Amino acid sequence: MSKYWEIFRITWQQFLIYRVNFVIWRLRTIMQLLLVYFIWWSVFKSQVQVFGYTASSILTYILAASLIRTIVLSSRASDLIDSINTGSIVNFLIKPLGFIRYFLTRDAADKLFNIGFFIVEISLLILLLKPPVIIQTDIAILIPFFLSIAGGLIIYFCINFIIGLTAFWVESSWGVLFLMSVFLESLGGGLFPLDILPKNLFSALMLTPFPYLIYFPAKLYLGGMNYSEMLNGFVVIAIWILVLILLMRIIRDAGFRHFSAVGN
Amino acid sequence: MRKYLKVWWLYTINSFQVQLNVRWAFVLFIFAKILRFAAFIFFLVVLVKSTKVLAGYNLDQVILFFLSFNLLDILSQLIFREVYRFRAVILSGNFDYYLMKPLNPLFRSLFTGADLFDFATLIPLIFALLYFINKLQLLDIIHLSSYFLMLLVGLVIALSFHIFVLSLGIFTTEVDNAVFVYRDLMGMGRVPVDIYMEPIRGLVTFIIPVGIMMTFPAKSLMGLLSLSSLVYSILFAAFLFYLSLNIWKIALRNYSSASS
Amino acid sequence: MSNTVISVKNLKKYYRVHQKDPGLIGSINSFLNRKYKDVKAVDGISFQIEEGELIGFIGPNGAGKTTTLKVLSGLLYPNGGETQVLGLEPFKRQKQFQINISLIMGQKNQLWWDLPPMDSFILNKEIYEIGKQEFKDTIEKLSRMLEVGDILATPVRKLSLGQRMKCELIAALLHSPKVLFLDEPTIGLDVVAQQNMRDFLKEYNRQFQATIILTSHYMGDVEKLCKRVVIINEGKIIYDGSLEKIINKYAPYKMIKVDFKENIDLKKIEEFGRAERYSGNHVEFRVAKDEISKKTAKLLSEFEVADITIEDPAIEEIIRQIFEQ
Repeated sequence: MSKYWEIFRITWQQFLIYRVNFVIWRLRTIMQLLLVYFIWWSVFKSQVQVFGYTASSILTYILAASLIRTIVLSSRASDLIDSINTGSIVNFLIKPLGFIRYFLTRDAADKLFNIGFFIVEISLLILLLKPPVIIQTDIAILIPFFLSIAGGLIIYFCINFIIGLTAFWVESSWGVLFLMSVFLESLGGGLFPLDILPKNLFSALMLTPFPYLIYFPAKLYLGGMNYSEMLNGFVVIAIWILVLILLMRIIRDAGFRHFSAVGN
Repeated sequence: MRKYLKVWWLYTINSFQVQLNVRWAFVLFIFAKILRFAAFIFFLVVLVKSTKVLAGYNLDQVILFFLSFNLLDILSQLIFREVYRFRAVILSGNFDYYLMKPLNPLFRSLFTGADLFDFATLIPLIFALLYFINKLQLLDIIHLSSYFLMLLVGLVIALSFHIFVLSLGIFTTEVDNAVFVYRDLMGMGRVPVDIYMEPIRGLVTFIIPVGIMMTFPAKSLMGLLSLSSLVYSILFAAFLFYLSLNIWKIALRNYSSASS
Repeated sequence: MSNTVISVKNLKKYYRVHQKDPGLIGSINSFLNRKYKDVKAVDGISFQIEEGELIGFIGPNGAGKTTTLKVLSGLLYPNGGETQVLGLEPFKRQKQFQINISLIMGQKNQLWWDLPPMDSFILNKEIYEIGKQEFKDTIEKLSRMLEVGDILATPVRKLSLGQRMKCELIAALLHSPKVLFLDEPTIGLDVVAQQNMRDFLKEYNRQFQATIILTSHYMGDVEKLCKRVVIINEGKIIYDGSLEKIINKYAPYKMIKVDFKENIDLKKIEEFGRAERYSGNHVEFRVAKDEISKKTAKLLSEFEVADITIEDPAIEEIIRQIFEQ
C-alpha cells in the first residue's frame, strides 16, 4: 500500500514543479466555464423560462456540471500512451507494481489536487457573479448524486484507460483520445442539459456512457428526477462499469502479450 | 522573400508527408473537429430557435459570428501550427539548429508546420460564410473590405500571441498549456462577446482581445462596429505585435540550451 | 603567418538553476519561494584558434566544453568577455556568420525522422541558398568520402546510428562551412563507425582547410585527430597546447609490458621500476623515458623473456592525473 502512497506523493510533487502548467490548466477550466455560464446567463436576460429551465436551475446545473467535470474528467490516461510509446511500460512488467492500480493512484492524486483548486475558484466566482444557485440539502438527493459521480468516475477511467491501451497496436491513440474528449464536450452535458435535445436523440444518448459522466449527476443535483428515471440511470451505469472493466482487463492482458511478443 | 516562400513550401510538403504516416490519427482529428463544430452549431440553433435572440442578435447573425470565429480559428491554427511542436523542439535541444542556420528562428518556429489537412476544412466553411453573408444581404465591397481589414487585425493579434507563447516556451519550456489557454480564450469568442457581463465583457473585448479578434470582424461585416473601435483595434494590434517582437528578442538572449 | 579564425577573451557564461530540497515539503517551499543559484559554466577563458586548426576540447562532464562551443556558434549569449569568430560576434547571428559555420551534436539530429535524408538536404540547400550545381557536387563528393550513396533515399528512422551520423555530417557540411563545431560527434557509435568518423574529419580538415573544434569524451578521438588540445575544468582552462607536450609533462615515462617464459617473483624485478600490473609471468612497469633502452637491454639479458612491448601511457590516465591535481 505504501508504494501507492508514494506514487500519490510524487504525482503531487510534479504538480508543484510544473506550477506554471497547472495554474494555466486551471485558468482554462475557468474560461470554459465562463463561456457556458454566460451564454445561459444572457439567454435569461430576456426570458423567464427556456426548455423548462429557469435561470437559477440552469446556472446551478452549469456550476454543478463544472464541479463534476473537475472530479470525473481529470485523468492521466495520456501518460499511459506516452509510456507505451516510449517503452517505459516495461517497468510494469519487471516491477511488482499493479498496472491499473498505478494509474488509478495517479488519477486520484490528480483529482484531489484539482478539486482543491476548484473549491477556491468556485467560491470566488459565486462571490463575484452572485448567481442564483440552488443549494441542495436533501440527503435523499445528495447520496445518489455522489454515487453517480463515483460511477461516472469509474466509467471515465475505464474508457480512457482502454483508449490508452490501444497504443500497443496503433499509432493513432491520440486521435481517439481527442475524439473522445470532443464527444464528451458535445454530448456529455457540460454545454447544455441534454434533455433540451429532441426526445428520440435524448433517449438514444442515455444508453451510451457519455451522459453519465456529467449530465446525469448534475441533473440529479437539481432534484426533481423521479425514481424510475433514477433507477434506470443507475442500472445503465452499473452495466457499463461491468462491461468496461471486463474489456479493460482483457485488453490489458492482450496488450502485454502483444508487447512481449513483438517488443516495441 | 523568395527564399522564405520556397523554404516554407518545402517544410509544408515535408510535414504533410510525415502526417501521411499517421494518417488515421489525422482522420480522427478532423472527424472530431467537425463533430465539435456541428454540435455547437446544433446547440446554437436549438437554443436561439427557442429564444429568438441571443444578446440582441437573431439566429442568422449568431451563426455568422460562430462561422467567423471558426474562420479565424482555423486560419491561425493552420498558419501557426509549428508553435504546437515548440516544446519538443526546446526540450530536445533542437532549437540549437534553428539558431545556427541562416533562417530567421522566429519564422522557423511559427510558420513551418502548416497543416494541409486544415486547408480542406476551410473550403466548406467559406461557402457557409458566403451563404449567410448573402442571406443577411451584406455581400458588397464596403462590408466585405471592412471585414477583411478586421480579419487581418485579428490575425496580427493571433501572431503576437503565438510569439508570446514561443517566448514563454524559451523561458519555462512549458508551452503546451499556454497554447491551450490561448485557444480557450479565443473559444470565448464563439459567441459575440456581448453576452458577457461587465466587467468581463470589457476585459475580453479590449484587454484580452477576444472581442477584437473574434467578434469585431463579424460586427464590422454587419456594419455594427464604430469607427473608434476600429481604430482602437488597429492600434492595439500594432502595439501588441511590437511588444511581442521585443519579448522574443529578450527570450532569445536568455536562451540557454538544454544539454548544458 | 596564418589567420586567426576564432579569438576569445575572458569569456564568461553563467546559468541560473533553481534549487529544491527533496520531498513534498521541499516542493511546496520551492513552489512558494524559488531559490536560484548561479552556476559558472564558463568562467573567464581566453584562447585563439588559427585557420585550418583541428582542436580538441576535453574535460569532465559539466566542465564547460559544450557551453563554450555553443557560445562560439552563436547559440548562447555570453555574460562577459569578447568572442569573435571569423571577425564577427557570434551572438549577433549575422547571415555572413551563419553561412560559414556549422555545428554537429552527437546526441541531436536535424534530419527529418520519417523522411529520407535527401529531403532534409534539399531543405538545407534552400536555407543556405546553395546553387544547384554546387549542391549536386557537394553531395556527390561527401557521399563518396563517407560511402553512403545508397542510403540517401531511405527514411532516416530505418538507418543505423552510424549511417545516420554520416547523413547528419552531410547535412551540416552542405554549405561548405569554414568553421566546424562538433559536440561529442562519436557518442554512441561503434568502434568501426568511430574510426570512420575520425578518418573523415581528418580528411575533411586537410582537403578543405576547414577549422574544426571538437569536444569529446573519447580520448581516442582527440588523440587521433588533434595536435592541440584545450583542457577545461570547472569553467577554466587548465591547459592549452600540444598534446605531445602535455604527455611529456605529465607522463615522462613509458610502459614496458613483459611476458616472461615462466612465473617470476616480483621482488627480483623491483629494481626495473614500479610494477603497475602483475600476474605470474606478466608484468607492466612504468619506466622513465631516458632509461628505457638501458632497462630493456638489462631485462632481456637477465631474464628469459617471451614477449616485450613498449607503449606510451594511456591518455585517459594522463588526463585523470591532471584532474586529480
